[in-house]
Amino acid sequence: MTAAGTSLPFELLHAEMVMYAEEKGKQREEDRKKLLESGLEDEKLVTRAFAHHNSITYLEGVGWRVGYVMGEKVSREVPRLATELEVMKFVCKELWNNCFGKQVDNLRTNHQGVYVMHDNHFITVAPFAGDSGYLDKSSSFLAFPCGLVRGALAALSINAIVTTTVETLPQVKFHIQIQGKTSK
Amino acid sequence: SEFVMAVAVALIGRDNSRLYTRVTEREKDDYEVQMFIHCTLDIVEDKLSKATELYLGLLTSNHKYKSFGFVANTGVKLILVLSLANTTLKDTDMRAHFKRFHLLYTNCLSNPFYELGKPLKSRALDDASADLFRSTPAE
Repeated sequence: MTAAGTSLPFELLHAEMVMYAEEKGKQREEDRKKLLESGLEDEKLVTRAFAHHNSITYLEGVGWRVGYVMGEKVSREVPRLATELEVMKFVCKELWNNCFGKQVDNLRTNHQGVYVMHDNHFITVAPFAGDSGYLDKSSSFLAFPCGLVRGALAALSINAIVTTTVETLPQVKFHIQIQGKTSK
Repeated sequence: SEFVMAVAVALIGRDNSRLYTRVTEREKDDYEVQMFIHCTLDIVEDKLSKATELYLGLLTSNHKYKSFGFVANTGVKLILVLSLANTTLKDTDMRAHFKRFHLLYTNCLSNPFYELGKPLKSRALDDASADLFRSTPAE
């Protein structure tokens, strides 16, 4: 993951990851249906067994581990991050630069644990942003980045929920809701 | 007579789990050093609250050892124990050693097979520790 211009390898790899995750998801769905139709297992049991994962949670999980490591790696380069706001600014600048090729364009907060990061040209959705009709696909392409941000925050002792909203691609808003610090 | 550079190195997780500890073979009684590291950890908590940078400097000393500390932004703690008599290792050397060990730690994290929170197994860390403990003859 490097600065824009040499981001192609990551874009391609990430696109393949999303396709792979969705294929896995389709396969699981087929397996679930087969199991239900076979009548061999109780329906409730099957539903519960298959409830855990889908392509989105899978990608988010992968992103978390990557984000955790990136949090550790990139925070080496900066002085002590003493406050929550300093951590958020670090995420917007150094972390975003290292992982997504640029800095966040705008950071807003209500100073009560909610932060919104605007990225006007987000790397994972940029490849299909020009053509209309892909808006509903964007959530699959934002799962890994959400996980990455959540993992990086976890590495920096911040427990948060990270979600995205999209109105017009390639602009993406990341919503970070702090849940309170993780155990020290 | 030989001049010992360092006695022990320890990497401790944010939750105070022992991720990696190495004590020089020269220390016949490992127990004393381990207890000293344990005491040092208490001092780290205290110093951390007032710290403005990652390197914490000299933490504590007893009749045999002195310890230096470093806490990364992620909360992972590095402790270096030197023999009290050691005067050659300066602050700049300590900072360099901590930087090196922290880099090796992040390399361990980058290993996808490493389970977060588990003890670290790394040849690079072992080599760096051996390097640190190597004695230099008195001049």
